[in-house]
Amino acid sequence: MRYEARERLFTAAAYLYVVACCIVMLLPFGVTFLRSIAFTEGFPFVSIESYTNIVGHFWPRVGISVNIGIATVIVDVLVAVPAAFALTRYTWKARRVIYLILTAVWYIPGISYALALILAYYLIFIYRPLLGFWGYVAAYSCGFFPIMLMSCIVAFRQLDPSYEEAANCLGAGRLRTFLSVTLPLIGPGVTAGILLTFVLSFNEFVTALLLSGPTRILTAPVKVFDDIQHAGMHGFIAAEASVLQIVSFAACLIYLRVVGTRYLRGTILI
Amino acid sequence: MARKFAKYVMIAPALALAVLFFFVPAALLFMVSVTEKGSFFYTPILTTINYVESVTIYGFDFRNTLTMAAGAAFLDVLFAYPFAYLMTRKIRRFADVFRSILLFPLFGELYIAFGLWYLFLPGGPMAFILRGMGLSAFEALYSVPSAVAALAIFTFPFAVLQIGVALSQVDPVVEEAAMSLGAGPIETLFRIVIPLSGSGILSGWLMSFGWNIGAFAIPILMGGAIVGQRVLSVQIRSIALLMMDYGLAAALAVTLVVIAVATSYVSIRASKGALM
Repeated sequence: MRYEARERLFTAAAYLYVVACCIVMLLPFGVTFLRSIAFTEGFPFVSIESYTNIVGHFWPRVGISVNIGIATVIVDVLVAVPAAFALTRYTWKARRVIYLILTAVWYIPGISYALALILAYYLIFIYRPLLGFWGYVAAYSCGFFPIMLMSCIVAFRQLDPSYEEAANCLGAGRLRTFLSVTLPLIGPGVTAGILLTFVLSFNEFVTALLLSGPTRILTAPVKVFDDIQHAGMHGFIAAEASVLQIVSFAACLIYLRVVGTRYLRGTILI
Repeated sequence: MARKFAKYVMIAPALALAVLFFFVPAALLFMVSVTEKGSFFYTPILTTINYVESVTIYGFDFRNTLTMAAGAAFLDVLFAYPFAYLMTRKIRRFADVFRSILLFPLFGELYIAFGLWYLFLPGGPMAFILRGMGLSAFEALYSVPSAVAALAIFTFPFAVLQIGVALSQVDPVVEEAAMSLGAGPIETLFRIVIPLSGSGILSGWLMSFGWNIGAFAIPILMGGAIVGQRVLSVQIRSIALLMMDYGLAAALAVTLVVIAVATSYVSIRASKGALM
């Protein structure tokens, strides 16, 4: 009985600690959200006025960010799935070197990568057309490619090659095997990469800040930063920041409802 | 013949992407970093003065960057270790809720810095507590401790992940064996669990350190203009875009890359298989 009581106390303390940590993690978002719905003057303490105020000038920015995110995801999937297939299903003498080349960008601080990119966009004339929407897509698809590649490689490793061999034995060609056996089976694993790439490129800030000058395209996070610097503390900025976090979290929640935590374990979740 | 080429065809786009948008710009960055000021745009004048200056004049900012990043990473490990331990051993109910809450810092440091603004500034929820402590809101917000705390919130999930991966490789049976041989909980913790998950502590610290030295939004919003807490990422941007001294900015960026790469190398060596 005494042991049980101690055990229960320990469990309670454990939950208390974990919940406290989670509250601190949620604090920035919580405060921002509360500020965005607070109505400072008079009785109705809650209002959505801040949200209706930003409809005109902010939603187009969110649209741009969503478009950039989707384009990035499409490019990355098209490039990463074949690359991961080649890396896991064929023998390579220099597999580690190739892997390192493909993922090196992940280990570079954002500001250095951003500076290198805008120098390239300015100085190398064939990069000039990229000073626009596709410059963002190129920057993000290269910058977040490692995370898509890692997800795809994990998906291919978990897939038993004997399925593909069986399909081959039964007379399916390589392409047919890939399209109707391999692709459906690795699909769920690749979705983890899709989610992360979308969320990261949707919220990316430093590269977008440096690119916003020459391209004259303001993505949503840069718009938030701009407003903070010009207007400081206003309800509408809180609303903007809340919208971005809610969109990102909604994407994550939908993913967790549909696919679950399985494929995110070890990459960003414990 | 076609089959032999298939694998090269499949990997070619990925390599092209990495070379075109990472290696070419990185090489360019290095080239710019050894030219004087903006001269790369006209007639490049080779010089090493940028690297000399980045150590002599900006050594102070280097020290700021490194101490703030190291402090935040230390805080992360301190709080993430119990968190990861409890998540892998104790927590069963609501575990997925806690996991998904850990996704929030991933959305970006900009929102964290911004949320803390509201928390601390006059009229915010913390204002009366600060007043009670006799601090002015601006002193509290634009100070090294609050910037470090914000950085710690930003990189907490990375530390949790690294430590959690290491802890899940430690078999709970070993702990139970130690307990049944008469070790108390504290002795088990210090002689069994922490030594066995030491690699996770190291890689968790290095991981959050690596993210912290590249952080931009938190340092710039939480006192970026104050001399005592200027960090490299903020300096690089203002030197490049406001002072137009691309050579110096590139040199600082290259130095930052070298630090980050060295950190990641040790981190990967230590982490034994965690992906990031």
